[in-house]
Amino acid sequence: MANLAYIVVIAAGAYTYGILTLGPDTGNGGFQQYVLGYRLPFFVAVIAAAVAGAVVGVLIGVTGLKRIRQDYQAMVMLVISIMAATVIGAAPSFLGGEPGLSLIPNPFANLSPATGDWAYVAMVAFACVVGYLVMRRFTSGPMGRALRAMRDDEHAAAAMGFSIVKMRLLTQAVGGAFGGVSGALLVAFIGGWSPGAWAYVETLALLTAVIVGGMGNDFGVSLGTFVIAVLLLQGVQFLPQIRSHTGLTEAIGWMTLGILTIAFLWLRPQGVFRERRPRYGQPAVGNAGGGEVAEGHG
Amino acid sequence: MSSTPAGGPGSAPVAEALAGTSKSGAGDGPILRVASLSRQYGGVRAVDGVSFELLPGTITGIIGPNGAGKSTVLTVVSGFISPSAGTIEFLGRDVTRLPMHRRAQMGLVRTFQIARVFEGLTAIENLMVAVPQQRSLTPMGLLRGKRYWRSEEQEILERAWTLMNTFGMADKANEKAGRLSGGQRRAVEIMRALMMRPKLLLVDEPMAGLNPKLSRELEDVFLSLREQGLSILIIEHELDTVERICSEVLVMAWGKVIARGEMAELRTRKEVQDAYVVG
Amino acid sequence: MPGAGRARPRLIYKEALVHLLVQSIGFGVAAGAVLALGAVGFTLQFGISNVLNISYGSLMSVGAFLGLFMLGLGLNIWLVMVIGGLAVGACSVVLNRGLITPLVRKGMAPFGLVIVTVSAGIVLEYVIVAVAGPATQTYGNRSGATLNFLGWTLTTAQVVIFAITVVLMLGLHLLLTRTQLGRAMRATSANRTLARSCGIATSRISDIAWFMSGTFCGMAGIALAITIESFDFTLGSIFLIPMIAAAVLGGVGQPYGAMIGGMVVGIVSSVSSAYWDPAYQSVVAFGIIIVMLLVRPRGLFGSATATRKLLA
Ligand SMILES: Nc1ncnc2c1ncn2[C@@H]1O[C@H](COP(=O)(O)OP(=O)(O)OP(=O)(O)O)[C@@H](O)[C@H]1O
Ligand SMILES: [Mg+2]
Repeated sequence: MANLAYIVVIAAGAYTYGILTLGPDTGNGGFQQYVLGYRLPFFVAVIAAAVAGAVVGVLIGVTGLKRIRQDYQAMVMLVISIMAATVIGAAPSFLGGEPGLSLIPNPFANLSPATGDWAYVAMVAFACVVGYLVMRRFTSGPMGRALRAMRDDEHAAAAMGFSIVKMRLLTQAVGGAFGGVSGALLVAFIGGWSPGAWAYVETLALLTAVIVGGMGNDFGVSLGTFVIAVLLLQGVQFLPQIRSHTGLTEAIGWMTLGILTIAFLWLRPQGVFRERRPRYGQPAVGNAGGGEVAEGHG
Repeated sequence: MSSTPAGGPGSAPVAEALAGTSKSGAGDGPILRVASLSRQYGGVRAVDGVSFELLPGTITGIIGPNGAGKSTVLTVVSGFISPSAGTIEFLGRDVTRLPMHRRAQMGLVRTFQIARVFEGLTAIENLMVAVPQQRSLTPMGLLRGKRYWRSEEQEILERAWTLMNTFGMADKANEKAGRLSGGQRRAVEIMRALMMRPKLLLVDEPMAGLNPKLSRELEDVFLSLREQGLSILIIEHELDTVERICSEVLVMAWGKVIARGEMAELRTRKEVQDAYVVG
Repeated sequence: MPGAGRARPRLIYKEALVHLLVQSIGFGVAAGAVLALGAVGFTLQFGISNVLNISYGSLMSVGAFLGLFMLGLGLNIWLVMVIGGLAVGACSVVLNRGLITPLVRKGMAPFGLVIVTVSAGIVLEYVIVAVAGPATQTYGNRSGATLNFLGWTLTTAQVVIFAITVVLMLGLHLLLTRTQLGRAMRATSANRTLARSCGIATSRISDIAWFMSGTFCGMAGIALAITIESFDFTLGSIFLIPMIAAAVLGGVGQPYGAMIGGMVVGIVSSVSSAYWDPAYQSVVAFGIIIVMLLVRPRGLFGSATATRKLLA
C-alpha cells in the first residue's frame, strides 16, 4: 500500500539535513533560531537524513500494523501528514516553526553559480542511479516477489511463514531512507524548508506521480515523478499570469493534478507502464543446472 | 480406514518435491496436542472445549454440520486467531502464544476455506514465494545479490515445476493467479502449502469445487504425503472421501467434539446421525 | 502558567482558573455543536455507502463560500445556512453519482476510493480559489448580543447554532428510528447485501445518505464561518481532523457516537487550549485519532458489526 504520509518522511530528511548543516548563529538578522548549530559535511548530513527518514518511516508504519481496513489506514496517514506540518508550524522554537529554516548552505557554494548548478545536477543524477540500483535489489527477483505477495494478501503471506511486522517495517525503513535522502537533496538545492512546502496537496502530487507512472514499475514511477514535478508544477509558472486573478495559475496546476489522478484511476489504473512480471521457464529434465530463469514482460 | 493403496499417478513426483521433509520431529509422541480449546466470537461459542491429539504420519478428518466450529478450530490451531482458552502443543512445544508465521516456519501450514492466492503473482511465483527462509530474503542475500542465492532459487524453481506438472497445471504456470478458476486457485494453494515442506498440513475443504477426477487425484496425493511421514488434518464434507483417507475422524457439532473414531463405525452411531445427516 | 500565579494573590488566581475552566467548557460546547453537525454528516455517509469521503472538508469550504456569496446578495444569515446546506447536499449527490458509484461498480478498492476523494477534494478547493481567489474572507461580525448563562458568556450566534444542531440531531434521531426510510437506512448500514435482498433500493438510500451528509456538511461549513473570524479555502480541510476525531471516537459509521464524539472533542480541545498553547488545539484531536486507532478502532460506541466492517 502506498504511504500517504510519505511527505512527512521527505520533510524529516529535509529538516535533518537543514539543522545539521546550518551552523551556529552567525547573525543573519537573528530571525532564525538554531536548534543544533552543527555544520557537518554534506555526505554526513545526507546519511543522517536517510536515517531520520527511515526512523520516521518506521514510526508511521507502526500505526499501520493494526489489522484495519485499508481506507481507514489511508485516512490516518493523511491525518498524520497534516498534523506533522501543523505541529512543526506551531512550534517556533523547534525547526523554525511556520517560517521554517532558511539559508541552508549550498554544498557547492564555493563553485561559481553555473558550475554549482551542474554539480548539483550531476549529484542528483548520481543519487538517482544509486537509488535505482538499490531499489532493483528490492523489487526484482525473490525479494520483489515476496513484497508483491505481501501487498496482495498479508495474511496469506503470514500463513506462508512471513512476518508481517518485519516485512512492513523493512519496506517502511527502506522507503523512508529514500525519502530522507530526497528531502536532503531538495533542501540542499532550494536552501530553505518550511511547513508550507509539505502540506496536504504535496502528498497528492507524489501520489499522482506514482499512479500515472504505474505503481508496480520502478521506471514508470521515476518517469511519472519527473513529468509531474517538471511539467505540471513548474510548467504552470510559464503560463501567462492573469493579473486580476492571483493564484489562478497555481490553482489550475493543482486542479489538473487532481483530475489527472482521478482520470488515471478510472481509465488506466495500472499506470502508463505496467508491472513487469518475470516468466519462469521449465527446467530441462535431467539437467539440474540447465533451467532458464528468463525475465520478460508479463 | 484407508484400503486404497497409496501411490496414485502423482505420488512419485510429489515425494520428490517434498524430499527433505523431516519425518515428524518429536519422536513417537503426538505431533499436535490440543487441550480444552475454546474460542468465542462476541457471545457465540464457536469452539467450546475441544481436545484431541494427532500422531505423526496420520490423516485425521473433522466433519460436522455447517457452523459447527470446524474452520474455527483449524484457524486457531494455525495461529490466525488466538484462542479464548486452552493450549496448543506442536512438536512437543507450546505454541499457543506463537504468531502464525512462526508456526508456519515450524512446519504447521494451513490452507484457507476460500482459497487465497496472491493474485498479482503468476501461479508459479505463488509457489516460489512460499519458501519463507530462502537466502534471497536475508540481509546477506540483499547485500550480495544473485550470486549468493542463485543455486537455491534454481532448486526452488525445480520443485515448483515438479508440483505444477503433478497437478497438471504446467500450462498455467506463468498465468497471473488472479485469472485462474476456483479449482485452479485451490490447486495453487495446496501446492503452495506443499512447497513449504510442512510437517502438519491443515486443509479446509480442499476438495470443494474440484472435479471428481481431480479430487480423487488429490486424495492420492494426500495418501502419498502420509507415506512421507506428513500428518494432515482435513475438514471435509464428502464422507466417502473421509472414509477413504482418514484413519481417525472427529465429529463436531455446536463447537464440541461429539464423537470420534473410524468413519465406517461412526456412520452407525446414533448421536452422529442426529447431528449430521449421514449419506 | 506557574510563573503567572506568583504575582497575584493565590485565591484570585484559583478563582480565575476555575472561571477559565467554566468558560472554556462553554466555548467547547459551542464548538462541539458545529463539530457534531459535521461529524454526524461524515459518519452517516460512511456508515451507509461504506466509502470514506475525504473531500468532505472541501465540501464544507464550498458551503462557506456559497454562504459568503449569498450574504453578498443581502440574504438573512440563517436562511443562507439552510440554502447553502441544501446546495452542498446537491453537490454531494453529484459527487456520489458522477464519481463514487461508477468507480465502486468498476470494483475499485477502498484505498483507491480514498485517493479519488482526496483528489476530488483538492480539485474542489482549487475551484474555490479559481472562482473566489485565495484571499482570506470573513462574514463580518455576526455574533450578535452576548448572553450570560450558567456562568458562560456566549454569543447569540453560538446559542442559535447550538439550538439548530440540537434540532437537527433530534430530527435525525426521529428519522432513523420512527420512519420506514430510517429503518431502511439502518438496515443498509448494517448489511448492504442483505438489505438489498430484502427489497431495499440501496442505491437510492445511498443517494439520500449522501444528500443528508452534504446538507449537514454545508450547514456545518457556514456555521463554522459564522463563529470563526476569518477563513480561506482550506477552512474545511483543517476542520476535517477534529471531525474525523469525533467520528472515530464515537465509532465510524455511528451517528449517535459522532454526536457525543463531537461534543467531547469540542470540549476537550477547548479546555486544553485554554491551559495550553492554542496552536496545539488540533494536536488533541490528532492524539484522539491515533490512540483510538491503536487501542479501540471500533470507537467507544462501536458494535461488533462495526468492528467487522473496520478490520481487514
Ligand atoms: N469472524 C467471525 N465473527 C463472528 N462469528 C464467527 C466468525 N467466524 C465464525 N463465526 C461463527 O462461529 C461459528 C463456527 O463457524 P465455523 O466457520 O468454524 O464453522 P464451520 O464448522 O467451519 O462451518 P462450515 O462447514 O460452514 O465451513 C458459526 O456460528 C459462525 O457464525
Ligand atoms: Mg468452515
